[in-house]
Amino acid sequence: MTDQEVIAHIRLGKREPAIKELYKEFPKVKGNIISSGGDAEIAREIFHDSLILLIEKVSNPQFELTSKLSTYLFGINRFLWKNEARRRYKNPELEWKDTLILSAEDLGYNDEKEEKIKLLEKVLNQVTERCKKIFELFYFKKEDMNTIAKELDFSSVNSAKTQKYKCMERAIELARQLSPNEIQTLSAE
Amino acid sequence: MRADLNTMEKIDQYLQGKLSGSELSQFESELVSNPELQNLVSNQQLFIQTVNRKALLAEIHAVAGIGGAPWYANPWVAISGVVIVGGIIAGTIYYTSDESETPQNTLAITETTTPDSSTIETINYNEIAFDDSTLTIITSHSKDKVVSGKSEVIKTDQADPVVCDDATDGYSTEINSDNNHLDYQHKSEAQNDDSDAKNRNRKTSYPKGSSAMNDFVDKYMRFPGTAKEKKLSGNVKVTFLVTEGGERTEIQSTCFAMRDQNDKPLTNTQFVFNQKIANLFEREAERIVRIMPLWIPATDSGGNPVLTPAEIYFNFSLKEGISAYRLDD
Repeated sequence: MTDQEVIAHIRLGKREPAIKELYKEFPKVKGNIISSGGDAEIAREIFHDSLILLIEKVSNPQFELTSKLSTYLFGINRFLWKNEARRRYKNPELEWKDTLILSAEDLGYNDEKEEKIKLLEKVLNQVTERCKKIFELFYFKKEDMNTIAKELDFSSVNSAKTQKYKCMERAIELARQLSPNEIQTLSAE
Repeated sequence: MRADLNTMEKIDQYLQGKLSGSELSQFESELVSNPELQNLVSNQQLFIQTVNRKALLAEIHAVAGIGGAPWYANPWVAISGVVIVGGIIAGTIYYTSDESETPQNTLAITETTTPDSSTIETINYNEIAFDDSTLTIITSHSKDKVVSGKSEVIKTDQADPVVCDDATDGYSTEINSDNNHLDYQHKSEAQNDDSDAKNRNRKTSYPKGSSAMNDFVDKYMRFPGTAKEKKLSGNVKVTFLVTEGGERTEIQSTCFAMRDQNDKPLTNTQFVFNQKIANLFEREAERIVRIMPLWIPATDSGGNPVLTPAEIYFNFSLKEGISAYRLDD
């Protein structure tokens, strides 16, 4: 698959073959990370995070690739690993081949935002399965509420909508409990 | 301000680019003048991003490993300490349970010389320290287990044989003596085309199938002592990923049902009161998955090993003992 094909697949929502193709780069990334003080486990986590970032980037129609896709992917991995290593009080010199040197600004990477997302991930783990399903169908699969109501056996579209609203409220409540200092995380009172 | 249902819906529509015309301009002008709305929008956007990332990660996990390097090129195989018993050897490793003469708790390697294949036997001790006295390598000739082709013996990465559970549970000391086995598993790499074809699109499995898995469970799994005292049975589902090398990672478990001595399922309230027992079942189930020998990895259409999810159900029954089964068998 060429880079353009991978990008086209991602934009069309056919992520699976694209992820398969991108995953071919994993052994190199893993080697790089292990040789600079990481282990296989963290390498996998970083690589998966980098795939998510890459897919988010590529999904934006304004994204323009200025290098090979793999080079860009390595760049993201290098950035994420450096970030992680710094958190572990290490600062390895990373001499990776075929890599872009990307900064947080290049990537639009914001620690504060990532923290909030981590918190919201915790929140998501705590809402009911039904809520998770609604969120996933609505936001990720982008299905409309009619379809969701049918799929999840709601009596009407309106009750599905109300349920989704309740789920959101619950999520907001949880977010508040998890971060007393960040009451504004989800909703301003 | 608390977002009401309509506001939340509006924000959804706005973020999904579904607002247009006057609706859009109205919303945008309100957005400029209303910092609370701005806040709501950015938070909802963040929330949507989190939902999407989570779903995306699940997709990545599902296809993870595909197209990766074959497991024998896996760096940890190469990096970690390797002992090469060179020459013309093909080996089979099995647990000594079926050989009554061999001392207890030993690892038996039976070497069988095959006439014309040049093969290499590798024992990969990795970095895990173990008590030498517990390891005996017996070189003997086995008539029934002949494997030709290149073979490797690999110590599982996660094997943690002497880890014992809750000391208060009363079986921790016992487990030490019985658990000094080593999780070696023999892997033979088929070299002819016939078995290559068989190795495509293979599902992941416990080596030698589910009856062998139950033998392993019989031998090494313990019924948590406290559960026995309280006369509780339980069912646990363990999910994990099998890597290209057959290791298990991301092991997670849920005890989804418990029964009392009359085989009556516990009510929710009873279940909550006995949550600690549920956790004991879970820990024992996770432990057993961790110390299992290397699994046979799944393969893709090209015959390359790939990372796959797998699950095992454990039934801790007071009457019938512990059994394990897989629904995808």
